[in-house]
Amino acid sequence: MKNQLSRRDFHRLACAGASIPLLGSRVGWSASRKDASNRDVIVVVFQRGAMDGLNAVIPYTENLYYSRRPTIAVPAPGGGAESAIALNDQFALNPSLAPFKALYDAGELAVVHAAGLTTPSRSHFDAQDFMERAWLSQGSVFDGWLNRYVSSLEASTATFRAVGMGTAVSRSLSGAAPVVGLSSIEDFGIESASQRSESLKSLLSQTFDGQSFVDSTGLRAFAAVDELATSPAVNAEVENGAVYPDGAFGQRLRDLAALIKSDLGVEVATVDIGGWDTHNNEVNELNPLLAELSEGLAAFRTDLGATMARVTVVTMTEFGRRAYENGSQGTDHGRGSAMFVLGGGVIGGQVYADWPTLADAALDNGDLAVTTDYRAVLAELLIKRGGVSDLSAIFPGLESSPTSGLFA
Amino acid sequence: MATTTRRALFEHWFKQPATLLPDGHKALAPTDPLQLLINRSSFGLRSAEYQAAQALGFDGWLERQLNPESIDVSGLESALARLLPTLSMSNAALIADARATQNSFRSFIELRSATFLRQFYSGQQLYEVMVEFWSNHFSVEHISGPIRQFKTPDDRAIRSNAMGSFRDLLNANARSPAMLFYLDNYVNVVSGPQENYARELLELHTLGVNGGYTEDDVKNVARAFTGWTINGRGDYEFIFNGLVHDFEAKTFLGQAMPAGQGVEDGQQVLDILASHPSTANLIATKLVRRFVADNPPATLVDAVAQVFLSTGGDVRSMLRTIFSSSEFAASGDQKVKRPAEFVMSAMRVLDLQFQGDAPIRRINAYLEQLNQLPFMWPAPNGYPDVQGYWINTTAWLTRWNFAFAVAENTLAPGLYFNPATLIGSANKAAEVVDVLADRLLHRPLLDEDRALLIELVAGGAPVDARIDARTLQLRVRELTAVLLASPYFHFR
Repeated sequence: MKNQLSRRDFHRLACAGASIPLLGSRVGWSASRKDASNRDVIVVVFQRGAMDGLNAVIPYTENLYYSRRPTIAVPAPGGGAESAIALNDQFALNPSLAPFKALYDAGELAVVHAAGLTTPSRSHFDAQDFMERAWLSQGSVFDGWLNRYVSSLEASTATFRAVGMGTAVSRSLSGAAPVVGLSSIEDFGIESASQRSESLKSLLSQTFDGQSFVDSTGLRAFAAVDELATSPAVNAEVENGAVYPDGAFGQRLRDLAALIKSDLGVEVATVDIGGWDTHNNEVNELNPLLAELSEGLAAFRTDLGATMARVTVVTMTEFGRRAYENGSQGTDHGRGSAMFVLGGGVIGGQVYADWPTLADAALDNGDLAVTTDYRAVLAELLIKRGGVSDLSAIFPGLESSPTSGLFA
Repeated sequence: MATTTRRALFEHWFKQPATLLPDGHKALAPTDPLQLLINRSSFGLRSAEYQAAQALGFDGWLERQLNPESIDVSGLESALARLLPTLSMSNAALIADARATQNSFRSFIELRSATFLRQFYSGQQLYEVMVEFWSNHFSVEHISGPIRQFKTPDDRAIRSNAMGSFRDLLNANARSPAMLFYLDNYVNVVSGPQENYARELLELHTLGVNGGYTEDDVKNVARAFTGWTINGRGDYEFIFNGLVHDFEAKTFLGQAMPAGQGVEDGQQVLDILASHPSTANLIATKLVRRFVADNPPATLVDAVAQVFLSTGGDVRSMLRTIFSSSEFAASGDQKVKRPAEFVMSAMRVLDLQFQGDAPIRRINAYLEQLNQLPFMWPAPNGYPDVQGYWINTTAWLTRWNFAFAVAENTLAPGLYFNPATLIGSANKAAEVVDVLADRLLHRPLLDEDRALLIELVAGGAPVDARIDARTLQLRVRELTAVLLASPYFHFR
C-alpha cells in the first residue's frame, strides 16, 4: 500500500470541508451516549505467554526471591540503573517499567500482585481460555466475559461499542454481542479502482445477506467502514506530546486512543501483547517487553489527556512463572502473577496483595500462589466503573468477593 | 478439576464458532462431493487441474492426490533448486552461508518463497496441504534467531514424512534443531531441567492437554530429554550430550525408565507417545477439524483414531477414512478458508501469471496483514483452524481488498491474468456468470445471487445481449472481484 494513495490520505480528501455536517450526523445516537456517559471505557490488555510477575514487581525485601533466582533476580532498589524502583517498603518495579512509576505516584496506577486463575492450569492455551471465558469449572459457557458485559448493557446503535484491536478478536470479547475487529485505522477501508466501485460494493454486501457469523461480520465491516470514514478518528493526531513505542502494540493503542477521542461510542476494547514465555535467557526477553508495555500504556494515558478520567485499563496474563529459575536463566510455567490497573477511576499508588510469600510452605507446587482471583478485580471494576449491579451472568459461579478499594 | 470437565472445556475452545452461530444461517447452494473434495484438499485448482478432477471423478482424484509421487513436479523442483540454493543446504552449510554473506535472512526468505511457490505451482495439492498441516502441528517461529536457518532442514523432514507415519514425523521433530532451539530443549540440563519442550510435546504434539498426564509426568519427561541438544561446535545437528543428562530412574505414565539410560529415555517417551490412544485422538481430532468441521464429529474422530492405532499413525490411511466418510460428505460450508488458503486459491483459480519478485512481496504483505505468513505463528500450538479466530470486520476488509486488487490487476506489477481466457467463448451475461462462477468458486450460486450478478454483467443492457469484447474484459474483472470477495469463495 506504500506506492499508492494511502487510505488515510483518501479519507482526508474525502472528508475535506465536510466536518460540520458530519458532526451533525452524530446527534442521531446521542441518547445512547448519555446512558453510557456514566461508564468508563474499559480497555483490557492481555499479555500472552505468561508474564513473570515476580520479575515485573519485585518483593525486594524477601531474601528467598534472590536465593531462588541467583542469575535473573532484579537487584534491590538503590543499586543504580539496573536496580528495581521502589514502590513501597515491600515491592519495587522492574526498571524497564519506569514509565509506570510516575503514574503510580500520581495515584493513577495500582498493582495487584499474586493474582490469577483459581483453577490450576499450567497450559498457556487452557489458562488463557479459562481466563477469557471466565468460566473455570463448568462447561456450557463459550463466550468471553467482556462480551457478556457488553450484552448486559442497554442496547446501543454504536457500531464501535466493542472493539478488538488487532487482526483477530480476543476470546474475551467474542460472543453474541457484535464486535468490530480493527487492526489499524489506516487500513480500515475498501479500495477499488473500478469506475463502478460503489455498485460493486453494494452488490457484494447483498451476497452477505444471511445471519451466520460469516454474513453478520461481513455486514458489520461495511457499516464500520462507513462510520469510520466520516469520523474525526481518521485524522486524529497524537496529543500532549505522547510518544508510542514502535511496533503493533503501540500502534494499536494509538489507534484506540483516536477512536475513543472521536466519540464513536467505544465502551470496551482489547489489545494484546505477546512474547512473555521466558523459559530461557529471561532478562533479555522480558525487559524489552516490560518497556514496550509501560511505554505504550503511559503514552496512551498522555495522549488521552483529560479523557482518561473515563477510561480504565486493566492488564492480565494467563499465569506467572515458577518461583525459582531453571537451568537456562529462565523460568518455567507458574501460577500467580501481577496485574496493572490504570485510569481516572483507579485508586492508584498502591500494591494490592494478600502476599503469600515465597516460603516453601507458601508456594503452590513451586510457584507463587494465587491469593487474589483475577475475576475479583474485574468484578470490582465492572461494579464501580461499569455500573454493573448483578455479576452473575458475567462471572457465573464466582465465589470470590470483589476486591475492595482498587476503584473509586 | 474432573478430567471429563477439563476435556469438555478444551473442546469448547474449538466449538466456539458453531455455537455462536445465530439461527437463520443463509444456506448457500450445496456443493457436490467432488467440489467439496477439491475445495478441502487443495489451495484451489487451476483450470487444467479442475478439468482433470472432473474427468477423474471423486475416487480417481482422491487416489491421485493421496499418491503425490504419481504427480510430476520435477520441473518445479529443479527450478526451485536453481533459484533458491539454500533449500538443500545442511544446518552447518546454512550457518556458514549466513556468516559468509552476513545475511541471516537469506534462507528465511528462500524457504518462505519456496513455500508460496510450491503451494501455487505444485500439482501435488493435498501433499502441500499436509505439509502445511504438519508444519503447523510442529509449529516453530521461523524468524526467531537460528530458526531462520534450522527451519530449512526441519521443513525437509516434514516434507519427507507428510504422507507417511506420525511416528516418523515425531521422531524427526524431536531431533530437529529448529524444535530443540524453539522450545529450549537444547539448554535442558540435569542441573536445572527446563520443561518447555516436555510440556508442549505432551500437550500439543501428542497426548493433548487432557490426555491423561500429570505435572509429575511433565517433570519426568523434561528429565528424560536432558542432554538432547544441538551440536553447536560441529555440524549443528542433533546430538545427545550424556554429560548433562539425568541418569536417575524416572517414571512416565506409570512406565519405568530405569536408572542408567541415556538417549534411550527420550526415545522411550517418544515410543510411548507415538502409539498412545490419546495421541491418536489428538491427531484424529486435528485432521477432522482440518478437513471436515470446526466442531469435529465425534464418530469420525473415533474412526480416524482407530485407523491411527491400527496403522501406526499412517497419514494416507487416515485421510482416506476422512474423505470417504459420510461426515465429510455432509460437511458443506463447515469450513472457512484461512487467509493463506484464501490468497493462494484466488491466485490459483485465476491461473495468475508471475513475473519477477514483486508479486511475492505483495502476497507476503497481504498475508502479514491477514496474520498468516508461513511458520510465523508466535506460539507453539500453531495457527488456529476455526473460523471464529479468522473472521472479523478487519479480516473481511483485507480479504476484499485483496480480491479487488487481484481482479482489477493492481496487486503487483508482474502479476496478471487474462479475463478473456477465463470465460472462453461466453459473451452473454448469464453465460459469463455461470462459466466464471464454476471456474472460480468450484460451486454453484443461489438463484437470487446469480440474478444479481447477471444484472451486473449486463450493465443495464438486455441480459441476453451479446457483450462486446472490450466491455467484456471490464465486466469479467468486476465480476471476478465480487465473486472472490463474496462468502461463496471463503468457504472451502
